[in-house]
Amino acid sequence: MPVFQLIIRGLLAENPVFRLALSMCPAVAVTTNIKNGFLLGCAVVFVQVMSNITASVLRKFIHPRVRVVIYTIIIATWVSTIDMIMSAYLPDLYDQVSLYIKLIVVFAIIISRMELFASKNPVTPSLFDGLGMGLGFMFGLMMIGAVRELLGSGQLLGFDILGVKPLLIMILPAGGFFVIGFLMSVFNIILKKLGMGAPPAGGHH
Amino acid sequence: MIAKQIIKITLNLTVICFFAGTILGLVNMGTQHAKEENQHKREVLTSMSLLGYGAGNPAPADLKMDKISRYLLAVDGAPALGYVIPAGQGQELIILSVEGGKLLSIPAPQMENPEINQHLSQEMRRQVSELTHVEDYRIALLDGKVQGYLITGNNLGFKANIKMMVALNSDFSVRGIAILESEEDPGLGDEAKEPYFRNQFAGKSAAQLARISISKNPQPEEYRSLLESQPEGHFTAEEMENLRAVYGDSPIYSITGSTISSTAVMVGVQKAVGRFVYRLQQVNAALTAPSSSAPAPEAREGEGEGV
Amino acid sequence: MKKIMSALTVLTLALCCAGPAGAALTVKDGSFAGTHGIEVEFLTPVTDLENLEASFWRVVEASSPDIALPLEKVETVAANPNAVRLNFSQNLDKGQIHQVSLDSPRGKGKIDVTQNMMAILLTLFLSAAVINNYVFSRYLGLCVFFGVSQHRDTAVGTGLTFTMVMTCSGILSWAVFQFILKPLSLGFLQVLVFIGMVACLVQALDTILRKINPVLFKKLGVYLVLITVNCIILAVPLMIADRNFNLGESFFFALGAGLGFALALYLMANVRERLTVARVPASFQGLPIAFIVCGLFALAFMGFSGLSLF
Repeated sequence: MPVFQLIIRGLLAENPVFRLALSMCPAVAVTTNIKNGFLLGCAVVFVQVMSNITASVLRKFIHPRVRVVIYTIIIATWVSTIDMIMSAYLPDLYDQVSLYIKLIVVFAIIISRMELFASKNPVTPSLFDGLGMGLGFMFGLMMIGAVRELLGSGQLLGFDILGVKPLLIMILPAGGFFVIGFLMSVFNIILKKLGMGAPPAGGHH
Repeated sequence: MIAKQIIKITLNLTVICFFAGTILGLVNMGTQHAKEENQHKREVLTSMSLLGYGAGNPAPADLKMDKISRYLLAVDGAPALGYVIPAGQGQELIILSVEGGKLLSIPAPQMENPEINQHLSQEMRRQVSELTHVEDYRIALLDGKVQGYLITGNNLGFKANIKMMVALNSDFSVRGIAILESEEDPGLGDEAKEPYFRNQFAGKSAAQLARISISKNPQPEEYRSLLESQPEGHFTAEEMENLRAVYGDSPIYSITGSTISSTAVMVGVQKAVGRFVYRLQQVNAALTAPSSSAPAPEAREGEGEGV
Repeated sequence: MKKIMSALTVLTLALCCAGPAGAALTVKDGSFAGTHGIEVEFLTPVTDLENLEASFWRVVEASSPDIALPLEKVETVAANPNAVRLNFSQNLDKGQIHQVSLDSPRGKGKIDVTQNMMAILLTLFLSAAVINNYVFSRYLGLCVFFGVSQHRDTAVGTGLTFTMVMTCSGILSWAVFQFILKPLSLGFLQVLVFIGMVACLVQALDTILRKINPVLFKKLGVYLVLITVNCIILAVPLMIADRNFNLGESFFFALGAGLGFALALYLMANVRERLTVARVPASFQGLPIAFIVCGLFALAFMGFSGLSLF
């Protein structure tokens, strides 16, 4: 599959946040503003890409019976790495998302991409597949973050846009759930119009 | 066959784990240093900002930061307070009883807490035990005169502990506060870091601070705009005097929807300042009181003009 | 050790003071009463309040023995003639040990007042289960949540299995952190070690359940696998490590988290079963409406914030 299509697939038709509904945990917690969403998105891109590369490079050496364990170890290593790097060099931004970066380990999305794609394909396509999925995730988080920040604190990226705080509830967990629910339905409508059909087995992990 | 499989699998896993551990260990070593450095830089930046220095007003080169370290210890079994204070060229450990009277004074050159135990002579160690370092107070001095004090306080907030730093002038009025650590909700308890809440403490004298309470009423518009006019809290002397005169006795207006967090911050600041002022008085009284057990106290640099 | 010492001190003082001063007062016990008070109980009924007024007491926090807390008034307690209540002008920090000493003409005494252990544990339990419910307040465990909450029986099954695994994992992670990670300064291996521990635990439970109770295994076995992908199963050990809980606290914290998740699952399942026969717009069907319902629950659970029973 050409590289561009891989990325687009990750961004739209199989967008992990809105369509596959995988790894939702941080989507509600972290997206109180765009900056946090972006930060976590970056972390996920890093982990996904590095894990995909590692899985692809080692695909001949991984024993099939313990592959899930080995994938988990690989992911845990990269997650700990990005966690340590962020806490050392970006301490202010890191404080708010610290727990959720560590939880990237349990993201079903990362393991499923490694299993479905990276373990069967050479390094370069794996890299771009990881990039696509990661970017799709970041895109989803930033969109939720934008809506919640705008409606909740009247700002975007810290800049006052509305001057007032219309719906404080948007910053609280309840608001997060509402926003995701609405954005999901919007995604459904748009994609149906574009003819990309129903989401693949929505609501599993 | 099964045995061979198991061995292969185990080998596989062990190698991978080993590599994972090595990578993590290396990353840890690399980032640990950067982390500590960055943390230290942040602390220095916050401290300087609280004292009124910043990008536009850099701290003078001869600004000196002295430190008073507070210890909890036991003398002959009874609880006592220990303070390591600067004395002459070195330091001195002065031990006060719980009621404030001086018990002992031990010169302790080049002591870096918490390794004080090593510097106590054998004889001292028989009397003094259970030495634990509690906190540090920092004093900013310029030409021997006190510019300000920096103390820390903490209090349980809505979600977790809130740690704050308070800067006091030489007369113990509040210069400003900074929230060092907090896990409060953004938009709610986290707003304590915003100028319109944080700067409310600026200008209040120690007596006024002890009296005030939290108010759930909305903050007056002019007060708010006055506070936000200096986001870093770098008010001039006249502005501080104005704040004290006009708003010194006004309550701390709580953040909308976060009374618990706001009260936590206020009580934390009150306790920290109240206890520091009391303790500094005790130390000063003990230093100036004539004593038969210790050598005559040397002239100390700017031990604070006391109150 | 300290308790025995203070008990002995009290007894000795009692013996000394009992003789000449007539029926002297002996301090027996003390506990926190509300946010501003400490209730002190004596061995004999309190008859003269004048000899127990504020100036005869000294109350300090153990970590700051030089700061006497501002005692305003001493009153009798209606429900207990042997007790008096010390009222302070500021909130007491119940997390600290308070040393209460009495030095009056009618007797002397000294006790340590701490928060009731059960109160601490139950507060932690309630906090993890309801006030900071893992699904509705911390938005964790959503991965599994939406997949499983479609039918009531699967919800109950997952909830119970999860609580079981969560409690075991809570205790195990406390042990691993206290005895291996902390002493060897291997904190940076937290993530790797905890997830490995969870995976092993799940595998072990799987095997044990298969052998011991095949019937139960048939009913619940399939949910065991889902637990490894649940965010909460990693979040709780990380929090236990972060906050340095002791064994009892870890146990109650993990139990609360598990039961809170089970509660959330059960509530959600009930609603979703009804949603399947409701008229939901096409674009909202399935996940979107589930999220919105979740949001409504989150709103409701917000009502618990700030709840403090003890």
